[in-house]
Amino acid sequence: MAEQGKDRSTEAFDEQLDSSTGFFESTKHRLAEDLQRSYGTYAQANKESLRRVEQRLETRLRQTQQGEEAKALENTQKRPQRIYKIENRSARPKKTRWSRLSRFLSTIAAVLVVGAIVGSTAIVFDIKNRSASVGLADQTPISRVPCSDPSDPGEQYVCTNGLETPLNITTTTFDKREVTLFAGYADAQRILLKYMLHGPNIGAEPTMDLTMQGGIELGMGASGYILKKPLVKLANFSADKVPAGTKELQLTAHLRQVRYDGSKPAEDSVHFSLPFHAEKRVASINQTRNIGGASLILDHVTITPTQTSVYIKNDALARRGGFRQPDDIYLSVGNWNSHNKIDEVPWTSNNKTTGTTIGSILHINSPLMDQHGKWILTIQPGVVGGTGTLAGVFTFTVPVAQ
Amino acid sequence: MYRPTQAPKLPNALYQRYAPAVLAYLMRQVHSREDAEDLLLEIFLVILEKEPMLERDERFQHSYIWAIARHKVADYYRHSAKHPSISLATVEEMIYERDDREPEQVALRREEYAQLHRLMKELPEMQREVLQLRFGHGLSYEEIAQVLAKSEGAVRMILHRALKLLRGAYNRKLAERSK
Repeated sequence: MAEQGKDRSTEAFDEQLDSSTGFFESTKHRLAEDLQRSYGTYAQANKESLRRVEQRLETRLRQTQQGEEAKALENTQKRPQRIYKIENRSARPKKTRWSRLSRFLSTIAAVLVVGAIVGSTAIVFDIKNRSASVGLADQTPISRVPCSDPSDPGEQYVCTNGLETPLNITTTTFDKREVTLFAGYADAQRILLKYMLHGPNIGAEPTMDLTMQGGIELGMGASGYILKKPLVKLANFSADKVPAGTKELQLTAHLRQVRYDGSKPAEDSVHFSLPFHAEKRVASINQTRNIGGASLILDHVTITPTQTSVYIKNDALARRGGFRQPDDIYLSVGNWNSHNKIDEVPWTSNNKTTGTTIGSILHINSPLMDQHGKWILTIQPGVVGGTGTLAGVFTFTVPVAQ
Repeated sequence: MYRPTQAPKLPNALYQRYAPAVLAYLMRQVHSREDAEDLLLEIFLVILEKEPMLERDERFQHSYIWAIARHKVADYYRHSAKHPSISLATVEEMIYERDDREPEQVALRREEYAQLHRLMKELPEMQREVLQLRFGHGLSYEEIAQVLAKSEGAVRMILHRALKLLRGAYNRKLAERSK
């Protein structure tokens, strides 16, 4: 890194300092030297930061690796340890006399232990039953599908209202694991797939790429946990690339398990279909407000059962990489408000990561399809890095679903 | 039978390629070295989790890493809003950063830096920022363009203007001395 930095600095001066002004050759060197010295401490601190993070990263990777190895080692040693304990216990000399008090206390302890065992057995059986009802690969239809945590109310809404399509499709065994897709849902903004992993925990988890009919790639799913035991995950895909007029999605989920030892990744694909819920509410707004010295355009708003998206256009915002504090943006309608529920992503000219950024999209994963009336979007000036206290307020209505 | 597996591999090339620019971006966004380091670690842990990403083409990697960085910054602000707190270490860090970023401490140590320091303070903010990214972070034009969300050509122009201004002032000083 040090060498790289040095090279870059040299390159800068070779390119930027005009050598045709021969008279000022000493100026060039003096400026170069002074600038490098001036930033020397700061550059050194940055190198230290990069080194620290790299070390922490390596430590974290080692810990993950050691954790896996320790588990494997523990499994191989469990049996001898147990034998050792039993042997020791039998070798222990018997007590010849017990006091009355200790006998009484022992009786109470025994009663408590029996109670605890009975109670925990009941809990364990209940958990097992619940796990089974989720549906393992080799078990018959999934009767109960767990909904995710409240951090994704859009997903919760479609789950609790029975809008998801049960799937129960299991991959072949790859890398000692199987994956069961057990539910899916697709609307005009999000495609949600829930899946369960069976088999040993090998540290890494498979990734999922989705392709629809016509070879349209929907990308790699961003996944989050629904349950950790059993391991149930939710993969989340954008439906932006689904063509208008689509009624059903013919999907291929490509699963890929990378191995830490560098050997060839294990892969498998499954094919299935999902109904496509194309209905959405769209409001073309195109309102401009001057907020904290920046001119922001509320372009349009799109609502589907699992997500509401607010499109805001601003060149300066795009250049800076988004809002400074997205939490100081509030969307409200009726009694609902978006407090701390906004996710911000860059809005690009071609809706792909390769496009030019033209603004920001605010995603709110709340079910707002049934919300009607006056919508209010409030943006505080600090959000755009501006000064003053006067917030920008956009007011609009959203037509019913198309 | 238990068999130790190979040590996990850190994609060093990927880290060295992207980490300096991402760190510069994070420090520009969060203004605390401690937090920037934590976020940088989180970003690369996410990248490692998505190992198939490492096999994708460079353009995809580039977009993906920057998308993660932006999301992490958004999460950082969301978390900061929910749990506003500032540690003593952070306060110290901020003071340290401020001193370092505008290279006042270093500049004032010697008389010959004083002039440069004054000139740099007079430069427009964007020019100072580009100088800092170039010399303080050692970033290439392409990387600076990514951090500032500007075109590479614009970055070259900004740096050219900054250096021209500084050089002009140095020339004047030399001319005065030679009189």
